[in-house]
Amino acid sequence: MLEIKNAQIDIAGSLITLPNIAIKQGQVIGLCGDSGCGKTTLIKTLAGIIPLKVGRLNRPQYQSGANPVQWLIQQPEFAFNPRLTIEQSLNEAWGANEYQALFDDFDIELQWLQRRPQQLSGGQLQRLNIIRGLLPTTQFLLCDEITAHLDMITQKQIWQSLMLHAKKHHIGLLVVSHDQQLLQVLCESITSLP
Amino acid sequence: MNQLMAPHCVWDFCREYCQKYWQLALIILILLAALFWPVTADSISLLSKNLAPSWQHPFGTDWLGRDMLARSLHSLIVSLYIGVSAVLLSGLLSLLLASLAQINRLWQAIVEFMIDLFMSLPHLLLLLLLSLAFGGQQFGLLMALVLSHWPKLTRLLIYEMKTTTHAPYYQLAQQFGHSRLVVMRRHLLPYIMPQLLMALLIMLPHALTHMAALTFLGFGLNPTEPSIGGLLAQANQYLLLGYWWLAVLPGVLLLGLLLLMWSFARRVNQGYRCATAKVSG
Repeated sequence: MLEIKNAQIDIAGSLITLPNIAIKQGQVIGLCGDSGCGKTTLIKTLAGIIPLKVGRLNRPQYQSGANPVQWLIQQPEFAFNPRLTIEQSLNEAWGANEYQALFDDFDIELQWLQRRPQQLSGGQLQRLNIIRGLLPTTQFLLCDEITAHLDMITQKQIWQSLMLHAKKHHIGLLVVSHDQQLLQVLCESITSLP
Repeated sequence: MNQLMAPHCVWDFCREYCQKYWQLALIILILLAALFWPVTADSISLLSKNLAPSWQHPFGTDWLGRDMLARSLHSLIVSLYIGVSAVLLSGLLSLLLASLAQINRLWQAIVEFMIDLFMSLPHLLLLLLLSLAFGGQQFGLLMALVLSHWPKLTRLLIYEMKTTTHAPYYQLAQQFGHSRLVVMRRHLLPYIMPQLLMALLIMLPHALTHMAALTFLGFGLNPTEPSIGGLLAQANQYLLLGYWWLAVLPGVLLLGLLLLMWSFARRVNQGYRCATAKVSG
């Protein structure tokens, strides 16, 4: 269960109230809202990057290893260290190259591993970014507009593979998007931010 | 591999690098000459005192008949020995403090306050105070150089580190379960290394100049121990007698070495920029 309740955070000295959100494992929840209404801030709080000032954040406990709540950012080109090859970046998260089992599902080619982020396109990078977040320990995935800048066909491929994988491994998804149609297709319920 | 090691390849390699980094080659030549100079620095010969520069004594001799070239070279070695250790320690200190400043805002405020504190004093005054505080001698000299050269570099490193720690990939790297130090070593150190190395290269001539200034004022080394600043201070009394070579030639040697180091640092910087331009272009 990933839940945030009556929460407020402190940004540059002023308190900001966050909406209540609860995601169970295996559930797909949508989140929509205008630009600048605090979608990414909410996601960063859920991922544990911004600390709460008031209120409660329930998240899966973990002692060591990767965070069970993984965060995927909107621009995959900034998600990888430009100095490392994709393989090095993926190994950092996975420890070993067991991620190659996911390559077929997400249409990833083996030769991309040796390249650096600058040498891959946005769609290719976003698929690798998703793979990196789908660790065996991942229970929740926070998708921050992950397909907003991709064309329709790539969007469909990526979402199909991701939804299949999430269902199979019982992962809870929080889908953030501007795109109402996309959210209606994917999600069980939709929260909109004021 | 065998072909790579063949003598003519080694020669070609050396020649290519000497052409590219001729400053470094010259610095190494001067250092080698200084290390293996046949004339000892403090052999007194009263028969040949106060001689003007000649082929036998290219830098002349002083009031005790000591060969000035040998003394200048010897003092260069002493200066470099202290200067290089001071610069390395100073770089390490900057790296530590800049990393501390990344922990949270409080630590950043503390480190920045210390930077401001050290930068608010005139540099030479700070050097004198520190040298006295650490008991003078060689150790005092070393500590004065170490503790007065870190602030600017630390400030540079803090902001270089900030640009990386605010990058999304650095924040994402935190969620894969590695400790803070591991993430820093993997994502932060390789990024600031070029800046750190460049800063150290530029800092070396700077530290040597300050060391010459301190020894000129009589801090640090014994008067019997030759140092560039000490040589110049002693030559002071003899300038009016017309023994110009005592001050001018060691000064020119120091200046030449400093200019070589500075120009080498610039050359390396240029090469590094070309290399990064190629990678990102």
